[in-house]
Amino acid sequence: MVDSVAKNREDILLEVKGLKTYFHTEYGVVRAVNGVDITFPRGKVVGVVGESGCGKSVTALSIMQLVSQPPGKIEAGTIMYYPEDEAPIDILSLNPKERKMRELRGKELAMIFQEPMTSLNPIYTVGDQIIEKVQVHFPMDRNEAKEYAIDMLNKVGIPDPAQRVDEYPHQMSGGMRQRAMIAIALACDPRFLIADEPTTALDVTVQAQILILMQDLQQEFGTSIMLVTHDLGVVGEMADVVAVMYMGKVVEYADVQTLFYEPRHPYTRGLLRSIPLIGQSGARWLSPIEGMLPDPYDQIIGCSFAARCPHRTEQCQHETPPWLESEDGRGVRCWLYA
Amino acid sequence: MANYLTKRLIYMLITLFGISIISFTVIQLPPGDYLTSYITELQASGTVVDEAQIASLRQRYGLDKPIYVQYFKWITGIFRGDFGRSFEWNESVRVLISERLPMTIAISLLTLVFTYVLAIPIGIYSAVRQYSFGDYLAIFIGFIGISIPGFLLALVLMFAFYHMFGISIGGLFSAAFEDAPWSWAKFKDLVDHLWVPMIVVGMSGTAGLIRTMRATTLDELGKDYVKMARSKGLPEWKVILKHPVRVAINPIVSTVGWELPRIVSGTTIVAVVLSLPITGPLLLQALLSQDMYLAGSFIMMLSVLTVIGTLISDILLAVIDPRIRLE
Ligand SMILES: Nc1ncnc2c1ncn2[C@@H]1O[C@H](COP(=O)(O)OP(=O)(O)OP(=O)(O)O)[C@@H](O)[C@H]1O
Ligand SMILES: [Mg+2]
Repeated sequence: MVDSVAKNREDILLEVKGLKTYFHTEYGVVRAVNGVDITFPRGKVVGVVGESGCGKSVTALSIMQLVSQPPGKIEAGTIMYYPEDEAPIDILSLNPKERKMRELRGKELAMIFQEPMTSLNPIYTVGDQIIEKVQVHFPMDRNEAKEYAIDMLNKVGIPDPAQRVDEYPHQMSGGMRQRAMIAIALACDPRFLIADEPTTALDVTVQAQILILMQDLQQEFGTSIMLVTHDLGVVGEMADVVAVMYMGKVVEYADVQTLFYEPRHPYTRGLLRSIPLIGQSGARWLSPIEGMLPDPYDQIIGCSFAARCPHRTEQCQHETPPWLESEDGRGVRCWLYA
Repeated sequence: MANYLTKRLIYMLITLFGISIISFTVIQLPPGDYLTSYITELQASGTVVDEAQIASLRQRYGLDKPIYVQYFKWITGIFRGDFGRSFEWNESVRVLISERLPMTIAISLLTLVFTYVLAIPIGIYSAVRQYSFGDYLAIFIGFIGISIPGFLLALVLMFAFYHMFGISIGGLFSAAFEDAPWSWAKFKDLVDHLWVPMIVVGMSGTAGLIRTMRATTLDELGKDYVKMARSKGLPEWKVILKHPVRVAINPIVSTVGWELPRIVSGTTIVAVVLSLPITGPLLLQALLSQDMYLAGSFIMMLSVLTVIGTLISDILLAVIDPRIRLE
């Protein structure tokens, strides 16, 4: 069994603990992230999976300190970043607008956003959008930065990069735009890359190309990646470690193979059962998880999955299950294992 | 780009041609002509009017010809720089207009600059600091600016200044400089007077523009590309100015040309109240007395300004927005 879960401090690049990010809206408080713990080992890909609205993007934005405030607010938690030869930094203790945070953004931490259509500014060329980042972090003049941009576009597999560098986003196809986004994110060699559903907006062949590209780049640069997706197939292909999220909480965290072959949390088991099985009477969705997601404005007492859980007990409905971590680094949030 | 421009230019010429026909017709629409109003005036003052004399006048002015002949004479004249004569002033229309047009354009452009220079930064501030005290203040002032009519503000200012400081703020010059040749002192006197029409005329435009700028910026602030810009590590002020503001400002800068005719016509009533020597009051008078060549030429003049303004807008839009330039 391949074991990718970090066991020593030195193997950890970034560690999210007890993260709570709420949105205070007119209609009430949305507890989008409500106690998330995830460890990101150095040089590994951590897949973050879960249904739509479970707080994956908000967790990602919280790590970058990019949650819009108001209405959002990071209420609790620590996000420790362990640079190779510097003292650890608690990202949440930094002011999001100040220099130290800005130096981390782009240079150490980078993000590929969910929507390639809206995440590029329509009125600047792709080149300009790379150059502007490079010039913040590297002492390059415009020409050098442009050479660098062309080089980046080449690396992400954009043909004719010397011409494409002067094109506007609307002149590119969806796949090309996504590559351009990856080029922007990877410029300045960040240590930690968040890829928020980098392929959902693309058609299947392009999806595969982009994933292979990310894998190659990850191996070349040794970047740690947080790969957000709700596609377990992508996770199986790409990830070393998986965090399963449900209703703003991580409910299970394990090595990818462990998770696929010995899932613990009833929600994880449900998710795995709902993967279409090819070859068995065609592609068929097997027993999707019963029930609906509760209203995001409700504050849930007890385990948030209890209402849909086949194994629920009295205790599950009244007491929130604790985060149970075993020695091998895997964790689960369920009374069954307490 | 060249294609786009040619297309715009052709539209512009067609529009102007249409406007010239419509405005000439509309001026002729009320019953009677300049001579009928002239006769009524004479009769009112007790003068006996001789039929034969009127007929000869009518012939001299070409008023006995069908309307399309009159239009043709007028429009071909314009190409030779002859705008016809004003009946009422007994003066060539060109002279009357050239006396007042420069000042009209000057006041309009100044007001335009005043409006944009004030409204854009306030609008941006208001959006970036949404729901702050400053934002509420801007909204409040904006509402007042939109709801108070310009002429009322002009009257209030005139009254207040006369009452409190004993000075008259009407006109563009003090009595001493009215007919004096241009000098440094006269220029300073002009500047001292200009701020009143500038504020009065610019107020509602400024208020409206603040609201538009605030709304468009707010729209852009929440977009993903702004988060993306932040994620690159740019300083916050650079993120704001280079990204959402730069996008939000597009429709505003590109409609700058439409603002020009709005200001020119908006000044008329204020100009009457403040007795400013600009085109507005003259046009009003010309329309009242059916002084058709003067009125028609003015309307043509304003239309040309409008159309040029629109052309400027179109060009600006193409220059600042690659999605249009490269279409
Ligand atoms: N700006 C915001 N204001 C209010 N609520 C928000 C805001 N952003 C996110 N939320 C809420 O937070 C919750 C989690 O959202 P998030 O975007 O993290 O979901 P997700 O897991 O990324 O889902 P998806 O797979 O659809 O991208 C949702 O209920 C969402 O409505
Ligand atoms: Mg998301």
